[in-house]
Amino acid sequence: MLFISILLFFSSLLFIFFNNILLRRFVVRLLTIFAAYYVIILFPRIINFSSFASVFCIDRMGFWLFFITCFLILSLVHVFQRRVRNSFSIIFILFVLFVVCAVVFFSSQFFILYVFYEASLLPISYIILKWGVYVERAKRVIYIIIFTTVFTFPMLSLLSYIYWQNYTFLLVLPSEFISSRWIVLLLLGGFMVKFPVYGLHYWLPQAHVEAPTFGSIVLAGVLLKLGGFGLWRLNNLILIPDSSLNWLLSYLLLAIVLSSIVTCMQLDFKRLVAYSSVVHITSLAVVVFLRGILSIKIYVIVIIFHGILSPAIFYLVNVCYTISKSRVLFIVKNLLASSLFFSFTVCLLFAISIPTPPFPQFLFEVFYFMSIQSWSFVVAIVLVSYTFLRLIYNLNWFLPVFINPMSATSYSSLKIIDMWLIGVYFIYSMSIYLFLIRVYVFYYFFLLSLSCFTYSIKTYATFYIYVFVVVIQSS
Amino acid sequence: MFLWLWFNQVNHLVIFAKILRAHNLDLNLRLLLDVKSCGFSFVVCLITSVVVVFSNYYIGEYYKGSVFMSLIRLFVLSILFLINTSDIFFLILGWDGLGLISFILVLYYQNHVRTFSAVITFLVNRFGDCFMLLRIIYLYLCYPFGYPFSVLEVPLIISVILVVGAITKSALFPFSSWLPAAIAAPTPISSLVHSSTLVTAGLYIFIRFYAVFSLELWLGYVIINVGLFTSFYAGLSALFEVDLKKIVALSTLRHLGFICLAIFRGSITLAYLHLLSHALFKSLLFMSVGELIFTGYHYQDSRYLTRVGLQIKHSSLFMLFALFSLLGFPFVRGFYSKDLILEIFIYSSFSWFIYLIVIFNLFFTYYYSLKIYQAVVMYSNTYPFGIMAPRNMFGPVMIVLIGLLGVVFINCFMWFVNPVSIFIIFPIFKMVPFVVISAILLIFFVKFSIVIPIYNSWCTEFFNTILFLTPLITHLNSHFFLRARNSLTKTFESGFIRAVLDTNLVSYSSYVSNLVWLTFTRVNFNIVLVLSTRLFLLLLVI
Repeated sequence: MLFISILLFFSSLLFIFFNNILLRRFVVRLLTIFAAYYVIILFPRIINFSSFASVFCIDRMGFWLFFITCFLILSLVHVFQRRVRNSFSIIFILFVLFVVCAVVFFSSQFFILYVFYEASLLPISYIILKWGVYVERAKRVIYIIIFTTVFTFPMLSLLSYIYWQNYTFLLVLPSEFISSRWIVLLLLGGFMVKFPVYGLHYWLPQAHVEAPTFGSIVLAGVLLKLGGFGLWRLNNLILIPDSSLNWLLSYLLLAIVLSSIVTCMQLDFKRLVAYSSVVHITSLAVVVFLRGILSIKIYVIVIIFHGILSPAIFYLVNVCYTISKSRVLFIVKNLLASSLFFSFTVCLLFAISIPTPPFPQFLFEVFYFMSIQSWSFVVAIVLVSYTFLRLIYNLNWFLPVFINPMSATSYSSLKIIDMWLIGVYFIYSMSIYLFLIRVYVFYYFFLLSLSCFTYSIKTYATFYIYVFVVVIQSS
Repeated sequence: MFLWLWFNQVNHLVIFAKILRAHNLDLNLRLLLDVKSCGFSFVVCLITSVVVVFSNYYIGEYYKGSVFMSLIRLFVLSILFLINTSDIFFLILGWDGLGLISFILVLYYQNHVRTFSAVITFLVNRFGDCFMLLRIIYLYLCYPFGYPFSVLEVPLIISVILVVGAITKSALFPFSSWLPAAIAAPTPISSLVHSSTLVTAGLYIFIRFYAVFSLELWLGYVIINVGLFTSFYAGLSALFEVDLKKIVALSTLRHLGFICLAIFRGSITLAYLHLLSHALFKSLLFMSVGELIFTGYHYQDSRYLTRVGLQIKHSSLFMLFALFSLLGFPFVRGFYSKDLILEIFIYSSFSWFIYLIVIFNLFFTYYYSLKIYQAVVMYSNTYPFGIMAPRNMFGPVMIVLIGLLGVVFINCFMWFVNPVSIFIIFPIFKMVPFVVISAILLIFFVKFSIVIPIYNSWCTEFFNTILFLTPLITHLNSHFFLRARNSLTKTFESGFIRAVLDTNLVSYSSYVSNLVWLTFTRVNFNIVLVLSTRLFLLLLVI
């Protein structure tokens, strides 16, 4: 321990005083190796648990979110090739993000989960500060950090409480559920602020506005899922008392409608997309607390599809920005004339984000509403207004991008469109691919790691097609 | 196989494919093939095949022609899904696909007016989709192990939801503003939408699920009144309209109300037949009107289109056929279904008031049909612009096919559907010929003595916006709802939470950000380095 910390200290000193690029790279690699060593080997020893599996475990949600993370970061490296080739630091920061997210997604302990959950703030703030373009970004970053930590710091003090409750940090199979109202609320708040549920979301649009494109893609695709994963794990640890649960769910259902109304008012393209992801996530947070079999499955699947879809729309924002040099929806216009395939993909994104039937998103949207309908019949009002308002705010970005034949300007930036095609094609094809193969993957994955799970294999979807003809004789 | 089916007297064929199973949620593809679905899909395919040829003629050389064709294919695929499936999920697949693709098709010309009407169309259709979504969910809650198709006793809420959804799709009373707006689409699309695909989806749902509705008597009465009112004001608005395509669209609306009335009267087979014949003659009417409009440089205003019909003779001839069929003129296609429905109304126990309004509607029909025809052919002032030369003759010639089928030959289809009793010989008079004679007398009397339409009055405004239904959606949205949204946003989004959190946080963060900003600019970074090294040296010295 001491040795490693001294080494780290001196290497960081070297890093600061000798501004040599080779040395810097060397030090960075050294640091990453030690960080990996620290995470993988030393952490279990420090916490002093006997087996590896009690620190890290994999369940279906963790696996799929890890999968999404890998996929998104690889596609980012692919799409932003030119930029990545020129700077090592993007690769490095993406690697840090990857490690942080992977550790969170595979953690089974509250302590590790908390530490790396908090650590996820650093890469994104670094991305905003380094590659953002506006002057206000420093202010915004401070705002983001303070806003989130105000809600997450109470969890630090609750760590000891959780430990003395169960004599372990393990989140899986606790001996006793935590059901004290205020403690549950603080824990939930800590994860909901980074999810972010409406009401705690104020940092998110600012972060998206200030962040560069790959920053907001990572933020929407991966970093928001950390909070969702936290809620998922917390669901094993806490038991919300019924009275509080009813209040919470009614707040969330109201917040869905409110946030979609707010989203309708946005004029900035990027803010609109950020707010629409807030709406989506608020609707997701309803499902976690219901604890039904269906609702938990839907939670996993919908969160994954959100992780695939929203980066694609953020990439669309980037394309519009590079062509029209503005994010204001009145000015972003006439992109349809640029390419037929572009317009096709824009239509596709619109149809997915409404959503409409042939896409898997719609199927799971229906299942989602089924699962929340079991809580109360009042949900029907929320359902209708949510589905309708969702169409309206999606029209708000779709129509300006899709139409306006008034000015046919010529674009010199066809290469950007090519990149866009690659990005969206990859992202969307993955969404179909996921829908098709997930069951097989799940099946083998479950068989392989049976010991880690508390979920049964049999209940999950089995994918088979057979056709037979039933002839009904007329009487 | 077909012979085997024929000899065994098979009425229904269900093709069943299990696609996905997630614990107790089954996603099955169930295709139900019986007389109704097969006959309807036959008519849809027939009309589509002619419309495709017609749209080659209409926008063949336009640069997005291939996209247009593929959109038509998707559109027809979704209506076929809707017709032939008995599974709720694939029903909504077709249902939603119709809304989305019609939205893109109405947007096809991409200007401000088209956008406006496309958005209205899509919003209303989406409102119906929400209700279909609700229906799936309630069905799941009532029958968690799959909805059996033969069960009649569903809860009331499910049938009410289904009625609202079907009303939005087939543009009945509160939701009829999108139908005249949807004529902004290219004419081949209009002839598809208004005849057999989009608007008939709701009526087809009514016909399919009639057994469910028949249990709720008051629901049937409500829908009868809605249909009656719709057909009445649609016919009335058509009197005050000058846009040629819009008149035809309003006549569609009138017929939708009429068919809806016939369905909930109980004569389902006749209503279904009238649905099919309406699809045929309305598509014929739209295509012939579309050719006239195309030839007249895309002017839709009937006052500009005078005497175009005299120069495109085959088109005006088929328009005449279609109008005869629409009126129910004896021994053309429309006669066999429309006249029977009218006569059954007499036998039924409706109040005389309903019957009176139906007869009034017939007069309206005569009036606007005459108006269409005289606008194209009969006015004395000549067409000022000359006409565009038709591109090729294959498209118009293909119209002949559907014209013949629509007017004459498909009469045998009636025997196929309902072999038992076709003609009711009413003791005193056949209904339609009576109305024909009286209407022609009346119209000629009115037409050549007084000019009814007084343009630029509140009355015209009232009927042009179909009872102010269009501004009800658009202006209400833009004034009241926008204001409400604004106030909501002010109170919640930038309201009390912001007031507590932000005032402190922003001031603090702007204070800290100065420090951060200093450290992150390169120059100041060196200063910090120098300072820190000096500090380090100082510490060493100490």
